[in-house]
Amino acid sequence: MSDRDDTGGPPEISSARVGSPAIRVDADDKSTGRAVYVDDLTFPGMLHAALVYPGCAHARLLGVRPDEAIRTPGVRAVLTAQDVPGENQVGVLRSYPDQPLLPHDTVRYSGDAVAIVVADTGALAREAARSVRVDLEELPGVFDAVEAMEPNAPRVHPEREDDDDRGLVGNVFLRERVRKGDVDAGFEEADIIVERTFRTHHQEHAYLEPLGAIAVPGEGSSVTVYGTMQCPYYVQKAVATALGVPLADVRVIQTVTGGGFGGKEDVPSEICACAAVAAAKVGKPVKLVYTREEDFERSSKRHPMTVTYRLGATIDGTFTAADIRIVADAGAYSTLTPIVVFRATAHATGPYEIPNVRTDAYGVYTNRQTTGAFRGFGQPQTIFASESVVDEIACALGIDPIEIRVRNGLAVGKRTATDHLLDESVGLPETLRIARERSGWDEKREAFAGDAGRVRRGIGVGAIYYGVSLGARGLAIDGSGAHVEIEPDGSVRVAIGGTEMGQGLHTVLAQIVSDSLGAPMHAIHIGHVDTSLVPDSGPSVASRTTLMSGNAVLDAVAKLRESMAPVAADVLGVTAEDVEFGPGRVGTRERSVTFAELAAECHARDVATVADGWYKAPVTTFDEDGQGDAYAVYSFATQVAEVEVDTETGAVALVRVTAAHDVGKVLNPVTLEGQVQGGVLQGAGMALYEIMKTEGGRIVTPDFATYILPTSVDVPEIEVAFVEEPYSKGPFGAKGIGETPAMPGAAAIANAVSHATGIRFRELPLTAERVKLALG
Amino acid sequence: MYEPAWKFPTTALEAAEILREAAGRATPIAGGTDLTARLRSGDERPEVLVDLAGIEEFGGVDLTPDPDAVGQMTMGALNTHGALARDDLVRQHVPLLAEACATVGSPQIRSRGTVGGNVANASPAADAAVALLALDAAVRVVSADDCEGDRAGLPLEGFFTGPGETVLRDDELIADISFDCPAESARSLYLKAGQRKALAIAIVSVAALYEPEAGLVRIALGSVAPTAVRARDAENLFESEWPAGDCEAVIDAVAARAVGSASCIDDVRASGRYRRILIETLTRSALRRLCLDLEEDG
Repeated sequence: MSDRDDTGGPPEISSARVGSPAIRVDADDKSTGRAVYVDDLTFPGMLHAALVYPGCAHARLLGVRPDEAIRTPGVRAVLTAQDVPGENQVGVLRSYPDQPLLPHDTVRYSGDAVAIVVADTGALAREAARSVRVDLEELPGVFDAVEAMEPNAPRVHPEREDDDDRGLVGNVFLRERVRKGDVDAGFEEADIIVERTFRTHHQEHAYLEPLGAIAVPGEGSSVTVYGTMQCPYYVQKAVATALGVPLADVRVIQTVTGGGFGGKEDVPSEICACAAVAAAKVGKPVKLVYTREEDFERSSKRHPMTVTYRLGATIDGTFTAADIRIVADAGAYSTLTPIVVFRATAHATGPYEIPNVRTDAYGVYTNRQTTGAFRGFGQPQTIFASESVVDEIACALGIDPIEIRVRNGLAVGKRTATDHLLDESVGLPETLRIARERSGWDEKREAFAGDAGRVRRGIGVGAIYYGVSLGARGLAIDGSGAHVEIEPDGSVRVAIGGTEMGQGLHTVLAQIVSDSLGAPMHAIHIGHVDTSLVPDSGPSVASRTTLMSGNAVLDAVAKLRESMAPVAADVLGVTAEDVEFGPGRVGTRERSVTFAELAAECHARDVATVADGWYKAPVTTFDEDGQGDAYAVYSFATQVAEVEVDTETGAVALVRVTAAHDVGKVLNPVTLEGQVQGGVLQGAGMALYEIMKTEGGRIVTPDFATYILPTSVDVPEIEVAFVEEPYSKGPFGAKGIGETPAMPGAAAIANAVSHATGIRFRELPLTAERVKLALG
Repeated sequence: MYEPAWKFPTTALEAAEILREAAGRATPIAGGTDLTARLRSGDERPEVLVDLAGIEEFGGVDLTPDPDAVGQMTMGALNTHGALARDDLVRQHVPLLAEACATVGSPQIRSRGTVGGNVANASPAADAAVALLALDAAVRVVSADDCEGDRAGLPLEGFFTGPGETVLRDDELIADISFDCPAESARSLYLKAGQRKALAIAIVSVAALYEPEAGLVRIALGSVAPTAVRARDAENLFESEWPAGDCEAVIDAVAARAVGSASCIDDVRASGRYRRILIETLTRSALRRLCLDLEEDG
């Protein structure tokens, strides 16, 4: 034991306190190639699976004839719907049981695989899958949500009964609404009313690592599933359902995950359940990894939405009423659409206080790829609409676009569209102020308006708010667990229920543990999720993971400190109340021990150095009129985009983006800035490049040669600024950041293009062709 | 399971004999930047792949001096886009080709993909091929019967017969490509409109070359027809009208005429309508810059 004065070595000071730019804990493994992704894993006797696709988007499935495939040497099995031992359902929401794991009588989109082939190698399995004969009777399809609402549209789920009372008729399977104040009276008060209709399209997540899974059968009916995923507890339930076994028989281990962005929320349940069903059938480990083209076919997308937005304002720019209609294309199955539409509905006004609001949203089936979670979760689409109309009203009234946002923007003491009275952590006004200042808004807004040459510059703004975590209509558990164990040498093992998918979770959690427990950063070992170590912690989505897992870890750490503090006090001859933990040392200002020394002493004295933590999100409400405290807390952001439009070709170059984000508290400025930069690029992709083209419901842009993502050369100059309006219930005051960087960009860019060209674009993306044809 | 046999000839004759023997069941592979994608998708399944990488005589860039002109440039088919974009001779005498090669794909693709492959693959969007078309390039072809390449001088215009189709027979290989370098006073530009700034296949590309002493322009267009094409009518109009009268009006008329050489289609990258607009605007922009030193349209 030693105190600070005679340690005999350099003090063990952590350089990784919360708020410092700690190096990512996974940096070495990922940059050297040591990180083990699911396709890198192998098991003795492992076989490989491939899926059989229908080749069309809507058909009656008459039969699957695997004879030729089964005769191929090396092919071990071909499974169809009849081979699913449990319930043939895979949708994440049990209240919408509309998605079979393997369709048995109807194919509803082109990625609706009808069979699984298991063979000795992946190449053999894929080759054999092509030889499986699928007997189909093709049906007319419907590929657009607005068309799907027509009375005579082909029905995607004819087995569903209409519910006229709730307006759930034909392909419309979902309605959400907000009713606040008196909308008609609100429009009466208005001096100006603008109504416009906007359209957005499918967007692909384009994570680097395609979906993949390995299922390893164990003793009895148990199975262990490895895979790339955001939500291991969803996978656990899906596999248990498909196999018809108890949850306790299913262990899910997340492998290093190469990006998710929402695309690995519910969709991994499908591939993992397919692998598990195949593994159960052949009694050997089975690997199933999608090619990029398959991943395009089988993964969910951002919902295309048609949004009609009507906004009224008085002559001084005060908003009086909003009337909003949202039609969301769910694709062939409901998947996460009910939750996405809830979020879109709750936030549809944008971050403004509007006294009278009427929002109606519809979830509609089509014969397209399913749509689900994608960074922003239904909001970037409605934001494009709302932020465009807000801009149009500002311009019509001769008010600066940022000024009108400040005037109507949410602040402490104001009420959201769901009538949620905001009482803390509302950074919107500050993000608007900073974005305006850092972007040089006032000068550029004026200077660019004078451009008359071939290249016209423009500057535009988008402002957003985002309810952190699942909110009132989230149907998953909104609690999270953690398990922290301290070894005798002072190394710390941390198990959590939230997933690292590239966003940097493990690094900020290590910082939180280091800072709160006094253990140095390098001593903290955080593993990927293993469902056998931590109880169901809900999904890693909705910008909730740092908040939820962070608080769960802090709960466990508090328990550890309670048991360890008396030991430290006894060793140091101080009182337990005076003992402080961290950074790197434990004790008082005058006398302290290293964390490792304290750990050893605790073990020597048989003091337990293990604790579980739990954090439960505050209760939220959303009644049938869409009123209530829909989310516990909101993150806010303002982005300003500068563009140059080449009037000759129509090409829009994104030159500069200023991104101001209220995150409550910056836990790691470097990884946070990276998250924002990535989000800005995804917003730019949605705004300018990405369009999923189809023919008869089949994707004709199923790869990165034809589906156009921004490249490194297309990256604008990005300035990131953070606002810290602390959230009292967040770890160190932090709230969510995951989603918001990708949200305001498309609206800001569209507004900038409008500023440059004088033309309002109401359909994304703003490809060179679309802009040029509008310019004439 | 598809597993092609690989052959590694070291001479043109050896390669040509393999091709003749295989009688249509073999495909030559150089950089493989297009072929490997087709192999992976299953669109193409040759029994034999003939790897040309070891054939030294298919390399090199040479300039044969000519007392009355700059001279004739010959480049082996195996030159990569990256190598040509960096090559001093090419950059000095035919910056048009260097510029076009520099816009191909990504650095990785430019490091693998070859100029011979760009021509043999016969994509209407092939960047190097469009520039070579404007340079009046000729292709020397060898076969087992004719390993000296007596079919030398096959003009590139006429070499392409459709998307992915050329006059090459199954047993023939491109040995090299040659052209007379433009006059010292010539000026040229390669303009390419893609879906993003890099790693983009042309929606429309225009290779334009202006020879002030001769009063000529040469204009080749990419991605506007089943093959890369020359805008001959537009060139002829320029020759007959330039420099008499209103130069800007001549350029406008030439640019409009260029559209007539195209037969644009709608595809995954753009509509035919947009392509026709681009042909005119890019051609006009190129000629204004080349002939009038005007950087920007008002």
